[in-house]
Amino acid sequence: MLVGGLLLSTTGYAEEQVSTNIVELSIKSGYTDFTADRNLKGSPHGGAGLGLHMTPNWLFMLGYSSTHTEDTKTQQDDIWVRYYSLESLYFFVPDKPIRPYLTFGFGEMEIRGQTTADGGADSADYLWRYGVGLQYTINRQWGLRGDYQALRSHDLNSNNYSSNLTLAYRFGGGGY
Amino acid sequence: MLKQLLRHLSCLMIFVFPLITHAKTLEHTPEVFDLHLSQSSDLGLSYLDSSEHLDASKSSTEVSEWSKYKVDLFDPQNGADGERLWSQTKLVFGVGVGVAGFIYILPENISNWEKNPDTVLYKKWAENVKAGPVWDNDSPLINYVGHPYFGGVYYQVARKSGYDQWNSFVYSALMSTFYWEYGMEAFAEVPSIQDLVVTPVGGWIYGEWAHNKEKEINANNGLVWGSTGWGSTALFFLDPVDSIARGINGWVGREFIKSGTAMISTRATHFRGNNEQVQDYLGLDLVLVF
Repeated sequence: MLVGGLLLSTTGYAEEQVSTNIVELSIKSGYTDFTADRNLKGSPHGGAGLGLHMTPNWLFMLGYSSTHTEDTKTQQDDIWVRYYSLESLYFFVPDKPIRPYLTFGFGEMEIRGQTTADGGADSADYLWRYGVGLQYTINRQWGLRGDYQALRSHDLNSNNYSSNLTLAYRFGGGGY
Repeated sequence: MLKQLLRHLSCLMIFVFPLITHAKTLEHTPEVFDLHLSQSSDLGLSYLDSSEHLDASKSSTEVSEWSKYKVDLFDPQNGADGERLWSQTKLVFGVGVGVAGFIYILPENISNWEKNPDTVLYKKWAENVKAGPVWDNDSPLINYVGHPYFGGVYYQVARKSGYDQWNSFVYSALMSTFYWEYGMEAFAEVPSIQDLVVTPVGGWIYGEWAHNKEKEINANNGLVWGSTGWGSTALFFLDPVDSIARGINGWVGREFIKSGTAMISTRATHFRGNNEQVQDYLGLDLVLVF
C-alpha cells in the first residue's frame, strides 16, 4: 500500500474528492468443480469480498470463499476448502446497467481434512483465477454479478472451475 | 522462494495494478464526477475552491481517472495540518515502542512474552515478516470489528488534521501496514492478509462515519434525541480521547492535555513459559499528552 500510495502521489494533480463511495462490500455464493486430480467432489460455496472501485472500469478486491466437500476416492466427508485471492475486475461500458467484465486474480486454496500423500491432513496450493462475467446494476448502491472463472492450480497445473453469483453494495451513496 | 515472492506481490497488487494501467487515460464519465462534486460540497474543504482543480480548460489527455488519487501527506495542501499529523504519528510510534520495550523487560510470567535466549527478538521479527503475509485464523471480532476500529483511529488522526478522505485512508493504510502489521505485531505473529486490507478499508468506512457523526452532534449543540446526556455519551464513544481531554481541560480552565490518541491493541496467540497457549485478546489503550 505504501509503494502504491507513494507512486500514485507522483501521478498528477487532484481532480476531485475521493470518498467512501468507491468502497464495495459483497457476498457471493456459487458452485465449484474441482479438477479430477484433486479427488474432491464438486460442491456449493459461499464467500465475501471487500474492494475499491478505483475508476468506473476497475475494481480491485480481496475475495474469500469456502466450501464443504468430500474426497471422491477415500470417501472422507469432512473436508473444508477455502480460497482467498486478490482480484481485479475490468468492466466494459461502465455507464450501462448491464456491464460485461473480465476478472483476474491471484490467491491461495487451502484444503483441510483431506489426507495428503505424506500423511498430513492439510494442504495448500497457489491459484491464478480468471474469468468472464456480467453485472446488472440495480441502482447506484447495489449491483448483482454473475461470473464463471477458471482457478488455475500452481502445483497441479490444472483447472478448477467456479461459477459465482455476487451481490455487491457500495458505501457513501454508491456510484454504480 | 517463488511462492513467497508471489504472496508478497499479490498483497501489493491492489495498488500496483492500477499503476500498470495508469498510463492509459480513460474517458471522462460525467455521472461519476457529478457525484463526487455534489458529495464534496458538505466536507468544508477547500479543494473545490481552487481554480486549478476545476480548470475546465485542461485537455482530456491530462485528466486521468487516476489523478484524483494524488497523495498530499508529505506536502500538505488546502489547509491540512502536517505538523499535527506528524506530532500524532510520533506519539503513536513512541508510545508503541515504549510499551513494547517496557513489556519486554518485565518478567516473563507477567509479560507472557517468550524470551528464549536462543531467539533474538529481531530474528523473530525477520522470520515472521519473511513467512507472511498469510490468511490468519483470528476471531472475526478481532479481524472485522477490532481492526476496522483500529484503522478508523488512524484515519481520524489524519482526517482531524484537515486531510481529505483519500489521504486519510492512505495514512491509515501506511500506519496499519508498516507500524502495526510489519512493525509491532510482526514481533509476535506473521502479518495477516485480511488485516492489511480490512484495517484501512474498514477503517475508512468507520472513521468517516464517526467523523461526520461527531460533526453532526456538535453542530446540533451536543444534543442527541434532544438530550445533552445522550449527546455527550455518543461523543464519548465516538472519540473517547477527545472527550476526556476536553473534559479535563474545561475543568482546569486551560489546555492541560495537549493531544491524545486511542488504540485498540491485540495480542496474537502466544505461549507462556510452560508452553501453555494463550488466546488472542483485545484491549483499548488511551494515551494523553500533557
